[in-house]
Amino acid sequence: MKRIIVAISLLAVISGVAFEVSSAEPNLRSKSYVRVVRDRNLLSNNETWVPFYEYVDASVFDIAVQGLSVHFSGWGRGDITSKGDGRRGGGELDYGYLKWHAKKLNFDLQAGRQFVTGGPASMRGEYVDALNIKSDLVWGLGVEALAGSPVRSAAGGRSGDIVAQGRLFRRFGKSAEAGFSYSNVRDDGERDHENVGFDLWLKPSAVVDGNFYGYYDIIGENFADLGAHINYSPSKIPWRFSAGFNYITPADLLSRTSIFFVFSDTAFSDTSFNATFLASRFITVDAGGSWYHYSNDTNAGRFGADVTMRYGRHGRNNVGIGVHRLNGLVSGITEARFYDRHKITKKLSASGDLYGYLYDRSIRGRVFSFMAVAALNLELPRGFVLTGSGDFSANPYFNADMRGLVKLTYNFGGSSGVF
Amino acid sequence: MYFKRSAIIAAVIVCLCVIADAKERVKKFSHKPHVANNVSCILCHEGISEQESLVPIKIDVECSSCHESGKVKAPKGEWAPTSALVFSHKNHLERTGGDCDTCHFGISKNKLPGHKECLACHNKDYNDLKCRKCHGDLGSMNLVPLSDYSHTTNWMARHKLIASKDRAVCAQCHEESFCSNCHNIRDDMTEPQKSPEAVERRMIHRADYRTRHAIEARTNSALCLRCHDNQSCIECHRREGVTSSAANYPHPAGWMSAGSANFHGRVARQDIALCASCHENGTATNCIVCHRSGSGLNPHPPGWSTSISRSATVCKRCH
Repeated sequence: MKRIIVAISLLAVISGVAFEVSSAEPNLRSKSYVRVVRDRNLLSNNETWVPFYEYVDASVFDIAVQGLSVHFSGWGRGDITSKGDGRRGGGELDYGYLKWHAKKLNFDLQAGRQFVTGGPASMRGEYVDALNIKSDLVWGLGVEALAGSPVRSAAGGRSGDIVAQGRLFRRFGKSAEAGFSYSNVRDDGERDHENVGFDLWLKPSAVVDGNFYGYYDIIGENFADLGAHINYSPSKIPWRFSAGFNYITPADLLSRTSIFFVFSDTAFSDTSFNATFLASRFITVDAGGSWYHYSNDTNAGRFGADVTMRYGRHGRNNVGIGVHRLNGLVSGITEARFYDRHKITKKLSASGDLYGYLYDRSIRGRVFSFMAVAALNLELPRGFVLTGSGDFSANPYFNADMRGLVKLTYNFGGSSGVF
Repeated sequence: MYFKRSAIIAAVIVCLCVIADAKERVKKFSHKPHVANNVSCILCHEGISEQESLVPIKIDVECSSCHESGKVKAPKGEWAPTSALVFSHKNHLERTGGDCDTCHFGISKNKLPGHKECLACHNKDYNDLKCRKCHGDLGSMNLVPLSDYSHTTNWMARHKLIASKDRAVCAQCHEESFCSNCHNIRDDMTEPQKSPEAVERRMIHRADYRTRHAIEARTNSALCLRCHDNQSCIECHRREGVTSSAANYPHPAGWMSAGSANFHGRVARQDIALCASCHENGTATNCIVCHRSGSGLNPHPPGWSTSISRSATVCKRCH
């Protein structure tokens, strides 16, 4: 009990400090969580774990000179009760970088921890401690370059791990962009991944856009990732369509320092189609499917549909129902879901979320699992939001699993978005 | 006992908030009869042409000057709904020459201006996705894009391509931490655990993913590998006791029989990344134990080639 009081006091102090800091220029956002988890695994006995989390992210613009900004996000955990694995806490800097934007040539420089969002290096979505430069040149040409070290190494520690990537692109007005890229990843000084790639974005009309890309693996001598996505959003009919194709060689995503990549060259393709019907301003029907084909002539796939509806004054309440099916290689899963989010008052809302799963083959003697989640969300003065939730589930691993969460969200600063 | 007490305290807090909120509610006001009876806008909205914000407007006029006392309850003080919109009535009235009807043409039907009316002039801002020009503080608004910007048709698969092209478009509504909520795999909590109230969002690791992940990974391991390296599989499987030495031996019967449909070689050729999710743990745990060079069990698939040097560490493990 004493530790809970200490944790709550800490929460209050952090909230106070956060609020004080926010009165200055920075855009500061923070979330505090207290969870209560019956953390049972296959090895240990029942255990109640009560961790406390603090997530903070901030951005400060126009430091010293116009266009210079700093951005960071991170979290820390303190355990009110022991987790049982010997760790009493944890934390991580998610991202943190200094950015300089110059209007001339639309120049961007980012130095620090950041997420790789484009080019072959983005195949294995990861954070890198890197220097990233992007600039327009002349005649619609532009260049991007990134060099640094991955935050999470593939194997054997980070010393000598390097990610380097370059991209040359050309814009064609507001309707097309084409790029060529090269990336080189080294793990402990050895060639881990080496790719060349192309990407093409087309928007031939206001209602159609397409993305096409391919990343060729120089070491494996095949395409590691090849994809195309086309989106059609007509303005005169209430329909939206998208189609996609993706060809992947999974072994090429593995580290070349891993012995496993020499065992397989199986590739697979994913062909998908989705349609959305905007039945009214408040009702949306979404349906689609994906078909997986493997180069050894096996097939799998998934399909499903969701109906979402907004109701009540100004459509401020949401209700949704969905059914999805996975025809997997070793088994199949049928999922049904129902949720409702209801504004009780202007500042108080309640939500319920119910999931049910049916497994084609029994898992640990069960073919069915379900989960029910209930949450209350209360908007408090001065930008604070308090959320409380609880969930109950029964699945092949737990007969009755219960979790609780209390979250305090605070959002200060000038212009800020959903975080 | 502790949970019961906490639940009671939480229920009391919620009730107090509901009561407090209900007290703040005001009686609805209808524009319709006022417009029908040619009541001048300025009569109630005096000073609007100098107003630098959308609301509030103080109502100084006494309703009883028109209505018989006792029949109508007059709204008091700041009766209008608060809004986080960045808007200046002063600037707009200067441009319309003081004509309220330019924007408020639907007021006789109690209809306030919405996107449609604003975009009659602000179409370029809308097309350029300059949402924050009007919606200054999106974080405090419970906004869900309804049509044009709604994340429909397989958005989960498509969003990467859109975000990689122009992050500034996403930044109109989302802070960067919104991305790291899901993409930072070094986080302790998954996004469904962190945001149980965000029921309208579609998240991969929702509900009973613990049970589903084995079937999902065996069907499309590349999807897992796009975010998770195989070390994260090993760490969790070890922690949870899913190892060959435990009672939860994961392989089916016939795993070591060459003629069996469940033969491990067949599965390995199908998806080696799946094997790596447990066995990438040193030479004692992986394929080299049996498939060493000279053992007669060539691990390379037919026609396999690579430009990697044979002096590389990975080759030297066998050769």
